[in-house]
Formats: sequence, structure tokens, C-alpha cells
Amino acid sequence: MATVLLVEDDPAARQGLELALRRLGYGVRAAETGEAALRDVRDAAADVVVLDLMLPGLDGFEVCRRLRRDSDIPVIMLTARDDDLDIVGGLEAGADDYVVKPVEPRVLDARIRAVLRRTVRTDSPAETYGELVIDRGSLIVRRAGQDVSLPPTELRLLLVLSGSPRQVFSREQLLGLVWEHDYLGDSRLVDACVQRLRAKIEADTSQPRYIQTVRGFGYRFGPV
Amino acid sequence: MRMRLIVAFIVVALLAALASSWFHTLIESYHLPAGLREVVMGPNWLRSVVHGYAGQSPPRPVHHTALVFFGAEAGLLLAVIATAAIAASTPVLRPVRRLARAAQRMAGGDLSVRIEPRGRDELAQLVTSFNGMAAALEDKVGELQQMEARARQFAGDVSHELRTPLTAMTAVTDILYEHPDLAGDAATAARLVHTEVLHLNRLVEDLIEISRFDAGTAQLVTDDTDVAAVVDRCLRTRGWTDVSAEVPAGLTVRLDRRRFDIILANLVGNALRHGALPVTVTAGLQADGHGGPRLTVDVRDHGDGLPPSAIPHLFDRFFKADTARARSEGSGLGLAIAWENARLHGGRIDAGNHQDGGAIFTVSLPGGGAELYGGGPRLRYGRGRAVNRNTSCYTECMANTRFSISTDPAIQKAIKAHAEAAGLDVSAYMVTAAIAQMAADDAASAVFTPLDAENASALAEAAEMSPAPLPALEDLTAEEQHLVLRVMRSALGSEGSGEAGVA
Repeated sequence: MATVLLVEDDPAARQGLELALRRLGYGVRAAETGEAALRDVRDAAADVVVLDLMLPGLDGFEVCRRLRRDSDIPVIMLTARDDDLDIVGGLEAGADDYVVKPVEPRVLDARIRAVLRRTVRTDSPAETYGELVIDRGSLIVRRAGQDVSLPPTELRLLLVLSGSPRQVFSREQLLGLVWEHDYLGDSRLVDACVQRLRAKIEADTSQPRYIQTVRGFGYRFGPV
Repeated sequence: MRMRLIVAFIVVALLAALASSWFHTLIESYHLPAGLREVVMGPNWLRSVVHGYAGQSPPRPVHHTALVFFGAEAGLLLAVIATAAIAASTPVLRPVRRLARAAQRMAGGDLSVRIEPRGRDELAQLVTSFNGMAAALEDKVGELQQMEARARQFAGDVSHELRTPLTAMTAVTDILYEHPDLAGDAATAARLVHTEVLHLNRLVEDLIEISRFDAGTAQLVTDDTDVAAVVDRCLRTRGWTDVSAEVPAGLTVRLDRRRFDIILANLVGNALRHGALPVTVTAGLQADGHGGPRLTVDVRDHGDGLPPSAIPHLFDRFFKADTARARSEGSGLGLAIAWENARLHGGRIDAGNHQDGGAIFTVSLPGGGAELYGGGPRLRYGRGRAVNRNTSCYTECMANTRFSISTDPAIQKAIKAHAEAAGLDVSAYMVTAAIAQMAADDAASAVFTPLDAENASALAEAAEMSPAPLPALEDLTAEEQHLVLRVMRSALGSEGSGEAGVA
């Protein structure tokens, strides 16, 4: 049973979401502020963080950035405004996905499960592409001999793309394969994730070798 | 007005002249002081000239001499009077004209226009009053605009605020609703709360969406879109399997997919809710006289149709055509949002009744990036002379379309030179090893690179590395052909229309 760390300052919303998540079968720890959330994550492991963006004190973006610095724990943003700025900011801060408040429990459930599924392992030998080594069995990615720490969504994106090298995937296809969104979802999720992934595995992000953009189509792994 | 002044001056002058001629005998016999006498009767030299002529002994002065003399005198007088009239009227007319121009500019919308008052006469007073009136008008209009902006901002803010309490309620309503221990009235109450909370959510969503249009922050995110695919997906994800869609295959238009989906979903939903089956969605490309091709989508039902009195108000916010009917599950903003989405694209929606019954809504959007033929992907090609067994050259030469695809840069260069010599415009594209691999991998991906001096040599090296035979174009699947078509189209930009299809 997975544990969710819920970070939400409004007491009614926090109580309601906590109740709903428990009914869905998750263990829930609730934090009122960003600082409390960071402390909690240090003390005991959670499987996924559901993070409200508008928090007093340390805002959601900063909490996400700090979480990302130390761990690969999946983060789902809770945003009351589906304004561009909020979403793009959250994605750049390292969130894996987002839901818009008010959110129906089944939607939140689907997102949490999707994000937890991203770290599923398979039995395959490690593959080498230039300087990059991808081990699907242990889910370890190495670049030039160094381990690269990737949160679940970036890892899954890399696995999906590298699973079919030189095949072009459209943003829509990636939304379905990586995020498991079934509506005409936000392709910004894909773009932001690609940016973050490139920052970690490309030697020169302005001339990407591994994750290449095919203009008018989408993205493709290689050719290296 | 100037004419009137000139005429008035002339009349006065004539009257004065007449008066002086009527009383000339009086003047003659009056003993005036010397200086005044000269003024009234004219200087001596003039009199001697005039009387010299007039007093000529017989024969009497010939008629036409006198007439000429008289005519010259009258003409001179008229000229002097007219000049005097114009000189007098100009300082009056100029400010009047300036006032008229200023009033015109204000009527055109420029409320900031003011005029400098000159002098202190009545005209200057008029100008001052005008300025005062313009300032008052500008303030009033500014105030009204601010009030409207505040009202819209308020609506948007309220909706945002509503999201917070709604978050908690949405999270828990189905706990109540699904609770096994609730029965009877309590169960009914829980179900009611559940439904209404979801309804409230939809309303808040729609309000926020509309407030984005009002604030001008709604943005269009366009992409080349396969219309048939979007329509199909729209119907499928909502479970509307009994709605039939007639969209030509391969019709691709630059659209904001999400917004197009919203428009379609609203129109089809309305047709199903307020109209009756069968509901059909028909799409097509129409040539527009001025702005190029337009995508038209018709959503038609076979219900009772729209009451004519409602038609002009359909897209108003919160308008409900049948007020006696129990409220619908929608928010009342669906059509308004659909309309705004169409407008954002630069298009429109028209509502009416079909001649054979039922309502028909027509969405018309600019068909940028559209394929004018609207048919399926068709690639006409011919085989050129192969330079060596491993490469082939496909040349397509038709009125507007020229594509040449090859793995061999040398061949491409030769074709381009030949085409230029013949005055044809050939776009030569290099196919990398990928397309050769394509048939083998069955992966629908390819990279086409425009041939130019710079990359020709680099590509020559790349081509050498994989001399796999090029598949025949007819061996590509329809999807791959479609892909090739799309690449060509996007590489050439919107001007590169006129592609043909598979023969």
C-alpha cells in the first residue's frame, strides 16, 4: 500500500483529500506547510508527494525544487489555476504531473497510480548508446561512467524513447505512453520533461544527441 | 457660408453705390469743407478724367466706350469687395472648420482631441465649451470601461475563490454517496449533494474559461491536425457512438486541437441533448474568395429545430432557449465558450435550422495549412533513370509540385541543375539512411533534409555508409506515404500546396 505525503494548507481541502485518499487505499501523511513537508520527507519515506502550489511561507515551486535536489520521489502538483505560468513553473521545478483543483478522487487516484507505475522494472540487458548506458533491469542510467539520478517520469520518458530508437513519437503519443493521460492533455508536460532530461544526459543541450527534436513531429531517441 | 458672406458684401456694396448715385445731386450742391469735398466727390484728377470723357462735346461718347469704362469700374469694385469679403470671412471660418474636424475625430473614437482657443470672442467661447464637453465625455467613457473591467475581473476572481471550498467538497461527496449505511432520505440527500457539487465544478470551470477570454489571456496553440482523427477521438472518448461523422480522410488543417475538441463536444452534446438522433458531423474544406481555404464543420440533428426567436441569442452567456424547461446539466456557458473558441481561431459559428428539419450549427475556421484537394494522401511519382543499381530517383513533376527524393546527392544535384536549366522549380530532398531502414523496421519515421551546398558533402558521406536499396514509393504503407506528404508540406511551408496523391 503506497504512502502519500499530502501538502495542502487549506484545512478543509486537506481534510477532504486526506479522507478521499485513505478511502482509495493509500496511507496518508498530511503537512500544512512546505517546511513541514520537507521535514516529513526526511524523517520517513513516502511513495509519492501530492503538493499544493499555493502554500504560505515556502511556496510549492520551491518545495518541489528542494525535494528534487535530494530524491527522485514522484511529485504531483495540485494547482487551483491552470494558468500557463503555474503549470510551466511547476514542471520546470521538477514535478512529474499535475491535477487541477477541485479534483475528483478517481482522477487523482489514476495519476498517482500512473506515476507509481513508471518505476516498473523489466529484465533486459544494459544498453549502451555512445556515452549513455541504460539498464532496464535495475533502472540505472549512467552517463560517462557517472550515475544519473532520474525521477520516475524522466526515467520513463527515456525508457520509452530509447525502447524504439530512431522512432519518432508525437507529444500526444508520449502523453499516453508516459503520463497515461487519456484526454487532449497538455503537451507542455512533455516539453518540460524533455528539457529536464536533456539537462541531465546531454553534453550540450543546444545540440542534443540522445533526445532529438523532430520539428513538426515530436521527439526521437538518436541516432547517436 | 463663405458664399453667403460674399453675396452679402456685394449686396451692401451695390446698395451703397445706388444710395450714393440717388443722392449725388445733394452731394454736388452741398457746400462741403475743402478736404471733405475731395473725399466725397473724389480727387480732382479722377474727376477730370471721368468728366473729360463724359463731357466730350458732340458727338456724345460712344456707347461702348462708356460701357467699357463702366464695366472696368464695376469689375474693379467687385474684385475689391470679394477680396474684402474673403479676408473678413477667413478668420471666422477657420476655427469653425477646425471645430468640425475635431468633432469628426471625436465621433471616430478619439476622445482626447482638444483645440486651442484663440482670442476671446464668441468663437473662442465655443471652442472652450467644446473642450469641456470632450473632457467630460472622455472621463465618463473611461469610467464605464473601468467598471466593466472590474466586473469581469470580479467574476473571474469569484470563480477562483470558489475552487478552494469546492476542492474539499469534491474530494468527499462520493464517500457520502457511496456509503452503504445511508438509506432513504439520507441516501437521496447524499446523491443530490454529489450531483450538485459536480455541477458546481463544471460551472466554475466554465466561468474561469470565459473570464480568460474576457481578460484576453486565452491563447491559441495550433498544430497541423488530422480533422478526421480529432473528430473521431472527440466522439469516442465521450461514448457518442451513435453520432456519424463524415470527414474526408487526409484532411489536415492547422488548429488548436484542444479548443476544436471543445467546440465540437459542445455542439454535438447540445444536438444530442436538445435535438434528436440521427446526429451527423460533416466536415469539409471550402475555397473562400479572399482569405484562402476554410474548414467548415456542420453538426446537424433531426429534432424539432431551433425556435427562430432564440437564434440571435443562442451564443449569449447563460441564455436558455426554453425557459420553461427544467434546467439542463450544462452551465449555460457552453455555446458562449464554443463561440469564443471559434473566434479565437479567427472563425465563427452560425446556427440555424436545416430545411429538412432539425437544427444545424456550422463552424467555419480558417483552413491554414490545409490541403486544398481534401482527398486522401496521394503521391504521384515516376521513376527516373537509375544512376546505379542501388539508388533510384523519384521525380514528381506536375504543375505546382516538384519533389525529388534520393539517397544520392550527386543525382540530386544533377536533377536540380537540369530543372533550373528547364526553368522548373524542383525541391530536391535528400533521404538519409533512415528511409532505407524504414521499410525494414516498419517504423513510420523518416528524415528529409533540403539539399544545399552546405550539407550536400556531409550527406554524401552519410549516404555512402548505408547503400541499402531505396524502397519503391508504392511499397510504403498509406501511413508512411501520409508521413512523407506531411514532411514535404511542413518543409515547404504553407505555400507548398498542390501535392498529389498515390495514383
